[in-house]
Amino acid sequence: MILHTDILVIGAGGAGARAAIEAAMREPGLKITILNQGPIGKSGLTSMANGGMQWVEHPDDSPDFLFGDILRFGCFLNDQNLVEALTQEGPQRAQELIDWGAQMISFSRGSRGGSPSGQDKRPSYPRGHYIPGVTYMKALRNEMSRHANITVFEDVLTTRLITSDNRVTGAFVLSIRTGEYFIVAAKATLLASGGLGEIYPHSTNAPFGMHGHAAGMGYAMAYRAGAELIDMEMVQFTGNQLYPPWLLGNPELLCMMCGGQYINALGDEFIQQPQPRDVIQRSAYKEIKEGRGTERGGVFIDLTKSPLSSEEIEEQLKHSLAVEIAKERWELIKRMSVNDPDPKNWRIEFTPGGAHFFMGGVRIDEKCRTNLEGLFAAGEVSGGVHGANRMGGNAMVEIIVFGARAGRYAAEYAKGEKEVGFEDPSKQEYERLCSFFRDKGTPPKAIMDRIAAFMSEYVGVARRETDLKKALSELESVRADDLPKMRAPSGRCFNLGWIEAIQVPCMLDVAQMIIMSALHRTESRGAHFREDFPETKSEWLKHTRVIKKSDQMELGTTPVVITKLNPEGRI
Amino acid sequence: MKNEQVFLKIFRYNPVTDQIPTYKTYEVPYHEGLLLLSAIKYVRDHMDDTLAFRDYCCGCSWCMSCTMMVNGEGMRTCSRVLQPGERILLEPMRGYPVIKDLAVDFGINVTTSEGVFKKMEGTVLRRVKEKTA
Repeated sequence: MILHTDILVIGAGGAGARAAIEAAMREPGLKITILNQGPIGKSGLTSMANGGMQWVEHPDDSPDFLFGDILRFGCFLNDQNLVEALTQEGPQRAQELIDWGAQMISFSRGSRGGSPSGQDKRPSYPRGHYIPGVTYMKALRNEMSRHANITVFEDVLTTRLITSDNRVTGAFVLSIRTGEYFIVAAKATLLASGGLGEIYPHSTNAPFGMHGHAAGMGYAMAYRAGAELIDMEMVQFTGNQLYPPWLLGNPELLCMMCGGQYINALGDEFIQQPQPRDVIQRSAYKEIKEGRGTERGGVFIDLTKSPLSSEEIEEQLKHSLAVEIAKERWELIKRMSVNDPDPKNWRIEFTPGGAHFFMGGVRIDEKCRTNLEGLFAAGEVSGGVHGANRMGGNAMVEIIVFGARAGRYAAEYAKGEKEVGFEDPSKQEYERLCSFFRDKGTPPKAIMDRIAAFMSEYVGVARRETDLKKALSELESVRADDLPKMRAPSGRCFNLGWIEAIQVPCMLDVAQMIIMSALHRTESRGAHFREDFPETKSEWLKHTRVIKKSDQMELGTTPVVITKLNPEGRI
Repeated sequence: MKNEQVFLKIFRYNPVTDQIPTYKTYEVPYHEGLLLLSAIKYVRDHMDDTLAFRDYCCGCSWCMSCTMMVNGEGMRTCSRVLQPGERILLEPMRGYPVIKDLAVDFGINVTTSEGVFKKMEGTVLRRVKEKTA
């Protein structure tokens, strides 16, 4: 079956949903089709976001100040045209979201300035706001439902972009519910498929080890279609909580919200917050490596010296966990927490290296166009906005700002274009997907675990050439030995094992991009820390670039877009 | 505490092969703090890889993707902490069409000038709230 549409949006998280709305509003005559891997608002990464956002609001603050902060945090690897759009359009986009019904929770400690993610070193102006991902998605979902020209497909997995003559003309889509496929032929295709945290064993993108729809399908599909991807080595890590268990969330956020201190196993404070995430990760890594870590291999966030009272801490923690709903879990956390129900006496143990966010991705310009005609990208799957380190509170703003931009420019483009024909790849693609059904073999989950294991071991917070090469050879061995033996369980209807099997080759491609880009960048910058090249080098102020050339992954570099601020080093 | 188990009696229905639903019981090893959603995932990962459920978790008990009928009561399985030896009856969430096993179609809302409708399984439209005159 071929479904004809004007604009195809892949992914209905914040960026995709916002793009569909923008396109539908601007051009009511266009037909927009939006695809999502699960039910909208009950799947994907936006729904699990705690909702820290930052935008300029204070009368003395200005988008230029924020612009400067973002660049310093991103170590000047940001494309400045994109940062300008982010800082200038953020407040307006956020206001729209609130008008559509998103619930903004006033952040009691936001007045300290900076985002709630505890990263603003310069508490110049209050910028922190808090719209939990679920209410954020609910507002977008309701707004989408008002546009009759948007057609929604839930429980579908896009597995391949269709191209003809370097132009993207649609996508191959598998229905998870039935196991049948269809083709969407589109004048403009918009990729908003989110991140790839599941490629690491510990990730805030996969709570409780469940899936978070963050296997990186979008990056792999774009790469295979011939798109340019930049800065794939830039993986933002955050703490992975060891103890107490089930206190999910970003430890840095908890630390900032609850006024905690970072201490090592000897009880010494090893870094004073607030600090950017990459700095915290590196210092925690150093403490553990130099033998000042705990038995479990972690360090602590100490709440005992917090200026807040027990009640205030409890309120902040509950807030981030939505504990009014999850009472049982809160009781469990308290019971498991050194048998002390008072969180003021807690030491939260964490280890660095939980994958949180990917700064790199498909290269876009300020109109969200990619190097492929007809392909637009927005959100985490795109690269260049955050440079080498994302400032807390910017992701949730990025998705609406660039979602809206992508929707607008894709609509402009689709309006003036005619649909082009293409060679229908569906038979061949469906055969490929069905080849994973076997009688015997390795379950896809085991291969995913193997990929995650070598990524965590060799491509974590600190990297070295020898390790990265080991990772590459492990990857090749998985590709050569495990992949041909991968077995998806039988049955096509809602077969989760099959979906995992389809994701595994994509995860391998993405892992390869990360490793090769990390090998290529022979310096340390932001989240990319090379132990063998610890210095930041001015000649490396450029993006690493990955592109497919005659079936090989070709590494190169490409200049950073500089519009108004010259690089001057770290804060 | 060692060798303790929980017993999950799970509703199984594959629309392609089954005329009627059946129930199957799985014994899952218990550890302190075992969450119901993790136990269901354990069944799929280690005991029966054909089990279908919504294997997504937002991590903050907010999104309701994992809502199911637990011993006859609708709840979020990610927030349900299990006790050793507990017997749980697991069924798909009431009021929604079953896709397979524990996975249901939560439907898509459509808002028109006539009111809010819910679109389920592609064709069925029904009014969520009665329109007030």
